[in-house]
Amino acid sequence: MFVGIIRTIRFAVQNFSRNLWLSVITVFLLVLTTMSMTLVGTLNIIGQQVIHTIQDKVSIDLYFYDSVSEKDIIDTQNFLQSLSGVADLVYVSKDQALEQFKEKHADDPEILSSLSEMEENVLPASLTVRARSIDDYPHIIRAFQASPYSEFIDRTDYSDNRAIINRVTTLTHKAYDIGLGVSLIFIIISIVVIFNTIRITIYSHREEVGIMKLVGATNWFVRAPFVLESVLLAVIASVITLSLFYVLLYGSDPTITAFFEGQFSILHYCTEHIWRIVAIEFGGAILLSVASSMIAITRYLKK
Amino acid sequence: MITFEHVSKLYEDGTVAAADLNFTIEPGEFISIVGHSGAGKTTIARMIIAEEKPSEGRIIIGGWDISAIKRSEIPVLRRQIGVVFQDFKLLKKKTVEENIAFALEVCGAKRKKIRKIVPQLLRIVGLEEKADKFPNQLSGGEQQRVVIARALVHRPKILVADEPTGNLDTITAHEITDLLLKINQLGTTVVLVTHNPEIVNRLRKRVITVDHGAVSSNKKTGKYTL
Repeated sequence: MFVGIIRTIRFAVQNFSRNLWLSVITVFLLVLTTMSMTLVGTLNIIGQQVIHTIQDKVSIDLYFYDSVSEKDIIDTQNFLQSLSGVADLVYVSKDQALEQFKEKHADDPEILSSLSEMEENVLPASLTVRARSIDDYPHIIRAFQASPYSEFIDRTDYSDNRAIINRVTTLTHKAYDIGLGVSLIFIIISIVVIFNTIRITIYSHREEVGIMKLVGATNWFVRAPFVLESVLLAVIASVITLSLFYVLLYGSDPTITAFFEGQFSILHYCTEHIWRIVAIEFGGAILLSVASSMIAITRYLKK
Repeated sequence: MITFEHVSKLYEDGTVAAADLNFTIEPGEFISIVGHSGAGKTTIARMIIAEEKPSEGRIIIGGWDISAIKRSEIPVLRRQIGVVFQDFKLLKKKTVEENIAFALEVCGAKRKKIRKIVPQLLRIVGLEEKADKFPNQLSGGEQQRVVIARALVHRPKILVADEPTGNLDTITAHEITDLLLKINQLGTTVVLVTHNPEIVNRLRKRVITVDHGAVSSNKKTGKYTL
């Protein structure tokens, strides 16, 4: 058994080195495929992050009539708190709203002077509602509109937000579908590439394979060097892809971090998940490679 | 013992390569299968090594019905039957010694066993001095000797030689035939497939003549009569 394993490894390495150019071209094609898949994965992560950022910015503001009492506002707050899907509620009183307004327009003396001319505070008290997920907003809005507390509300901005919410939800699902579709296309491409590479390798070793079969080598022994060669190709391609990917990450990280205003760094994310990425990269490449080579060699041996 | 019982082989295009073949080859026998090109000689050789399966009938080798042999069992059969072809089928990038050793390596033989067997086989075929040469540095006869040595690595009970002298001149062909006779004398059953009348007549051994897939004659000390 041990002798068989050592010989299989030797034959696989020989196959690789004696057809060096074919091996180099295959590794190059595999790097292209795995790199494309890795980039699709990264774009998915960045896309999810964009959606997450938008989600964080989306909220519903409920503006109360001036006549609504403090108790009614607290009841409204308690009701909203009890709804499933509500993550966070922020109450802004009339006085706080005025303070915030002044802070916001501190550099605009015209607005501040016109504000001081008013005898009373015209800004309403409000409740800002944030949902756990973007999909929860429609349900929260429906539940609130059906409740008696909706009568305390002078105006809301949920009709504006509804359009954004719907767009973001659609975008989330579309991005996922597109990512999945693109990944699937690349998986098919890599299967075809590896399948043909192993077929070419088998063809270039057809004499050895023929003699192996003739002198009574088991099918396992005939198969094993080719399968091992495909593993070798996958490992080399994965190492190159990961190296290139990290070079690319270093180069693009400042731009991506700036885009997210320092809230998200793709390099930090990938470093944090390095073992997961390595496992997916190697596992995926080896799985694809072995499956394709098994199909190729089984088809050849059946002839 | 090799037994053909009502063996027929019909290809998908309608070609009849074997038609109701019935014969037995005794252990230790030297038998020549002769016939014109396309008569079905090679099909018989290929069916013995399970490269082809009969469409009808049974082929029994040493009590084992190989007509319905499973794919996983073929390597076991091939280790009991040595095969020699006209076109040598040697690996050009390997030396004589490596070509012979390759057949043992791929079957999982230990290095110690390989080191012991390969020189013995080189001695039998008379190529001790050429162990380090590559196939393209050898003559046709020498290449065929390497093939014979490779066919003997598993000490097979049967040796199937399909046109082993087809690419050789008369003198070299006689040398190869003599080598096959020597192997036969050591106890191996030899099945020689040929269309060379001179070789067959010189051997004075049993001859089965095949014509259009059927046995037209089967003589104990036969001659090439076509």
